[in-house]
Amino acid sequence: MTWGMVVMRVKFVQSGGVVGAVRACDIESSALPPDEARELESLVEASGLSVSGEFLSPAARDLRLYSIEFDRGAETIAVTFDDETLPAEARPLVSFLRRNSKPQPQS
Amino acid sequence: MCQRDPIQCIIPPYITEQLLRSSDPEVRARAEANMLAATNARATRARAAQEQSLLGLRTPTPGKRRLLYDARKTDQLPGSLVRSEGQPAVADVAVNEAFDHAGSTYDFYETIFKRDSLDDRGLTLIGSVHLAESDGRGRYVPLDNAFWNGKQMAYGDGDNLIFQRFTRSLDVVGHELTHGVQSFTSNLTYEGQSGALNEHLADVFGILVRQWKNGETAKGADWLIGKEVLVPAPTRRGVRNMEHPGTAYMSDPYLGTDPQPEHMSKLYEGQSDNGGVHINSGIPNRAFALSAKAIGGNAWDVAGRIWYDTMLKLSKNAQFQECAELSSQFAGDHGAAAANAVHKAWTNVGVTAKVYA
Repeated sequence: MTWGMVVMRVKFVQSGGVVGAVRACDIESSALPPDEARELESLVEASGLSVSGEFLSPAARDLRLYSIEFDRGAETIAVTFDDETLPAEARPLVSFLRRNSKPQPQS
Repeated sequence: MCQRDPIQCIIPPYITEQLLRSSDPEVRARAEANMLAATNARATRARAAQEQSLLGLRTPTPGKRRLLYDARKTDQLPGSLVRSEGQPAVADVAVNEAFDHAGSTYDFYETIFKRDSLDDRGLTLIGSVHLAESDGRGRYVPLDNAFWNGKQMAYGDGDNLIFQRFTRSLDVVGHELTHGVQSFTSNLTYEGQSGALNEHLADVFGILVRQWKNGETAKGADWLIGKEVLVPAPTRRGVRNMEHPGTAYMSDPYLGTDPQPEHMSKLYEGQSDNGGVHINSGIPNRAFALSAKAIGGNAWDVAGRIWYDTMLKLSKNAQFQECAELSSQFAGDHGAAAANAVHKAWTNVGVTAKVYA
């Protein structure tokens, strides 16, 4: 499926884990070098994330949480996964976003 | 005795129980692995949908039992069985650390609170080391985390840039096992203030295991959680500071600044981290550290007892106020000085409870 986006904005927050440190990024593809912008759009598409929701393991404790929000046409997709529920197809996207994230709050 | 993968090799429970009493550690290890497989299979069929936190290995007799697995740098749990109760240390330091720290945590709960494992019925302590995660490009990288998945502990090796082996820290192992204890007691809902209390209690008993093992007094202890899992740097001292929340790491290029508040006026109200379960735990953490220091002596003797009784009584959706009320009430059993110390500590962090002296 191709969504044919020209400019894509992706918000990402990693939190939790036994450490509890928070990292985040807010990326607009237009602000990225062309190669990275294409990579981001391709990773979002390949992630298969198309329905908003929170998908968490009820009995687990100290897993890291990943919240991802992006626009798909007029619709905003907002999802939260943990280490055990994160779909394999979305792992490359999360890896990309983690590489581009910074610790929060900034001091 | 079946030697194949225990998941594929379920033998009748009466035979397993017999083999569990064997004098041969290898036979006992195999029997426990088989019992684990059988227990999990039954639990999965009958109860997984309702009680996911209770999927564990019940043993027929009281006592300490540990099973340590090696995930072999993959994301597959539990991995291969590498050490069990009665077997000597192995060459892998992570295996021995996880095994020994789980043993110290069991000993702490048994000695101080007469609690027989997580469920108080001898549940086998299961852990896996060398857990990795996929980098999304077909490779595995060391996991920067340790967690309790409802059935077992799991430990990553860290990236060696920020984090080292998570098995290095006794208080982190005690923290994860206390999540297991909670799943059989208060089972606090893992979001918002009840989730922060879940994390708080894991920190309390994690640090008490370390203080007890090392003979540290409340006033002499540093109250830092997880200092051994961090690669040393001037910007980081631990993953949390129970006495002074918000100061464990400062302006760190990778971790940032410790977000924990030390007072209700700075309560985190955002959505991240299940509503701040690892963030707002700083508030009750400080109340506990201040209580223990004011009471004096060994924190596990009086303050630890008060908080253990509190953990058993808290309701599933408890807020900080309920924890303050219950701990103040239990403090009254230890005299006016303890009652006043606990009341003052909660007041200090912005939670007012009655004095039960």
